Amino acid sequence: MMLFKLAFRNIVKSIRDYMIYFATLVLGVAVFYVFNALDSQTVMLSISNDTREIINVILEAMSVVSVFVSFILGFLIVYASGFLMKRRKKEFGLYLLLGMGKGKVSGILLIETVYIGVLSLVAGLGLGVVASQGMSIVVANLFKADMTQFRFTVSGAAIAKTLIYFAVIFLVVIVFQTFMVGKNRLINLLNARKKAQKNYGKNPILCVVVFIIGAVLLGTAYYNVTVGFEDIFSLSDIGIEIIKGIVGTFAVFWSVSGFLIVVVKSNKKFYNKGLNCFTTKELSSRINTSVFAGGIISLLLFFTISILSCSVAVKNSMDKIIERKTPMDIQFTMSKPSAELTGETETKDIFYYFNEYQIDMNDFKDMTCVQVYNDSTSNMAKYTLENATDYFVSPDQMWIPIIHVSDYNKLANIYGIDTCKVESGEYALVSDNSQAAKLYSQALETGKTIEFNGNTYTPAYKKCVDGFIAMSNAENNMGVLVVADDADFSYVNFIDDFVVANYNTEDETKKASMEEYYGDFEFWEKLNPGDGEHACIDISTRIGLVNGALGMSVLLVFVGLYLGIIFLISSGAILSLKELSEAADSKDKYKILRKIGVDEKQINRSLLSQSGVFFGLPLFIAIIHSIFGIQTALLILEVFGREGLFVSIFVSACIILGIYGIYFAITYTCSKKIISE
Amino acid sequence: MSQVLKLENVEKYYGNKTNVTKAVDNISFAVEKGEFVGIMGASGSGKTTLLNCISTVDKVTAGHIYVEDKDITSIKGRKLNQFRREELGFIFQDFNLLDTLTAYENIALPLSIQNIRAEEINSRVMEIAGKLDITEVMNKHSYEMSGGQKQRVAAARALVTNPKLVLADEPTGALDSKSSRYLLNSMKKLNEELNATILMVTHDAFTASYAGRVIFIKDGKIFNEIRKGSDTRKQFFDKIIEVVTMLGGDLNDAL
Repeated sequence: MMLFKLAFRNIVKSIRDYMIYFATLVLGVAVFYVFNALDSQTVMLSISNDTREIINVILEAMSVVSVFVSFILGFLIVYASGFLMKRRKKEFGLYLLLGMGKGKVSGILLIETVYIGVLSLVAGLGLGVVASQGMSIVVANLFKADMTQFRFTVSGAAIAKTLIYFAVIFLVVIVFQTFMVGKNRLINLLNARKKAQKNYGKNPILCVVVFIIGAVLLGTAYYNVTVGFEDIFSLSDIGIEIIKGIVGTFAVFWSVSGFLIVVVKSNKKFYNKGLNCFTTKELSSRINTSVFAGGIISLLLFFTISILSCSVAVKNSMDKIIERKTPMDIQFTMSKPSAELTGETETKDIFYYFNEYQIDMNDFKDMTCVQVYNDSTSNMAKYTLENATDYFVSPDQMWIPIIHVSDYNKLANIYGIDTCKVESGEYALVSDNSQAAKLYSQALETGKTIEFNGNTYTPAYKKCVDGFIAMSNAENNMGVLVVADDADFSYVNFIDDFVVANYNTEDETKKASMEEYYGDFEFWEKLNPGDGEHACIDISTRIGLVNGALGMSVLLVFVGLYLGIIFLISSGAILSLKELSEAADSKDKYKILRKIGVDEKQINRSLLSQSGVFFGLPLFIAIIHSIFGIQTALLILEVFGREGLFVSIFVSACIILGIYGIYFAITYTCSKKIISE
Repeated sequence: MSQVLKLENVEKYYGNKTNVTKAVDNISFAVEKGEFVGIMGASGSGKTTLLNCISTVDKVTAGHIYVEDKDITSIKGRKLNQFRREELGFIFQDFNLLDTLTAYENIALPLSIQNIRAEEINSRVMEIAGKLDITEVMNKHSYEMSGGQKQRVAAARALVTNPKLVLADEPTGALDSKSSRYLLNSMKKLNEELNATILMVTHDAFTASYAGRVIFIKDGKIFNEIRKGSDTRKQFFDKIIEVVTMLGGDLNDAL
């Protein structure tokens, strides 16, 4: 009973120390719940069947991300509790001195953890349930669902999941704490407050040199991923820039305090004014003792800003791509062996099987059929530069489909995209993927000739033509070779029958029911009975493609929000705990300042600039990273529109400044209280 | 000579109606300009409370304290800070140097919060550092210095503003005997050369013997007062011991 009382009193007594810890736990639990309770939200209930499937994919992804998130939160909680324990070493030492066994001390800690855990879970779940109703509105917006039937929902499964995950985390915390108590010797506990002297003095010249190196590393990385992006061909190129960025960030954090001192000292007037000298030195010592944390936090904030900003921009861009790339309601593809391969004079085409499976052709209009030839020698490597061999997909293994110009123009006309003109003996390359198009254009520029089956072809255009054959929800046409109609490709082994059509109705409900039939797996099974009679007939519908992409982009937004908020909480909590403990350690310094006769106002100003810079520096570096990082990310993700970007940056700035700002405000208020004791 | 410090019937009570502790009980004395006064007393005699009252860290219950005719018990708020920063200098038992600052920066700090020009700060810091023989540790941090050096840096910080009154609270408390002697000699030198007025609280007879006058406090009251006059330090020390013996067992640790 005594232990319970003691544990409870301890929490109440050090409520200020625990406030940040507690707030972080509550936020962590709430976010965890919200993203695991997506399925039970009102809006999900009114969403169509197709979208439901996507939502299941999203939920699955969320549960995978949740595992990652639980690791981050686990580390954070263990770190924070360890941090709080360090502050109480003397108290534990006193318990031991009074004859309390280590088991009992662990017992106190266990009870405390249980108290805090239960409390934060209850508060966090409460907050999460409320927040998840708000999330419904966001989801409804993203899926364009109607929200007329709003209902307050609670997900039992998500609550259970949250409880289990956090129970495990708290268990780890308890084990960790017991271990900490067990390994410490009494004398160390009692003397814990007498900190070992830190070495504050870094060689200023070294600092300036390291700072410049860091700045140059970052600068060149920034340059290479934006202005020099044209020269980036492979993932490893980007990887080098990322490594440069990481090393540069840590170098800057390692040296910035020393650099700061050199800069400030050079301005004698500023340095010798009021508490400036004290503030600078305190700040630099604080930054010096948190180089690693500062670097990590900077990078986390960078990810957060980039993910949040990009996810919405990508979603907007995807919407645009889809509009262009899904001009028809449905497409069928069947790869049929050529007469050359089978030796038969007549091959069965796709319409033969449509007839055989009794498909009602009156359901379709605008039906267009073209032939696509697959020549195994038409690999991409023929058109790419030699230094592009480590490009994302090996160009040797990628066949470029071949199509006659009249067939291509037939499609282009019905799609409403540019047609092309190819004379006899000429060829054109068509792609809508900017990376591939770039490589093709480089080859076409040189007038590259190609050879098939003994015939030589020359480029009809000096540039790659923007276009596509197959509908898709991404700009993934890696290249199509367009040749004049007199070019004979009947020698190839496989010829694809490619058919596109619209549903033969204007009525939306009828269209929906047709979509339900033709877009369903059952229909696919009907066309593909699996008897080996013919090659697989692929079906894609516009709705299916749209939904797939919608799922992708919504998933991106969710993952962005989820990880972003967790990263933010983690960063805020770590900075906050560091700052508060520093304030507690510096209490005596402020006492000295007061005795010397420094005004309270000056002291508060000094404290504000210390906390401000301590919180602001990682954010500042992260923002600079993001300015370049976002651009690169959008280049990689092939997002060219910038319309949505401003809004998404604004929204993410609000989220970041909101959460980060709350941590800063709490920290500043608390440390002000600590030092004025 | 003018009086730098004058205490009139100063009282400081702690506690409530039913249980009052008179930490300082009706103490009056004055310190002339250029004097080096020691205040001796056992633990709990009220000497630190008295010092806190003089340094305006604590408030008196009754009575007045004048620093050069100014009644500091009636100063409030920001004026109090200004008073402390311009008129007083502090030396503490545990040095109280700011560990992130170098010795130079520690000494310069009281000047920079008075917004004195950078060039003047430099000349004044170097001057006082020369007097206290610490010029070679100017760029060191406190963890790189010996206890004696730290305390001399603290003394320099207390004296650099040319305060009317230097208050020293057990300045040798954390020093070994050699460093103590060195520090006390420096303080004496400053007292004589710069005419600095020093009020030093101690419970150590040896430390007290460097002062020109020693006031003994017991249970919050002045018990005795002796002056060095023309005695040598050794003779003065013996006299102090006599009083300590008279004071009773409490101060025996002073030996």
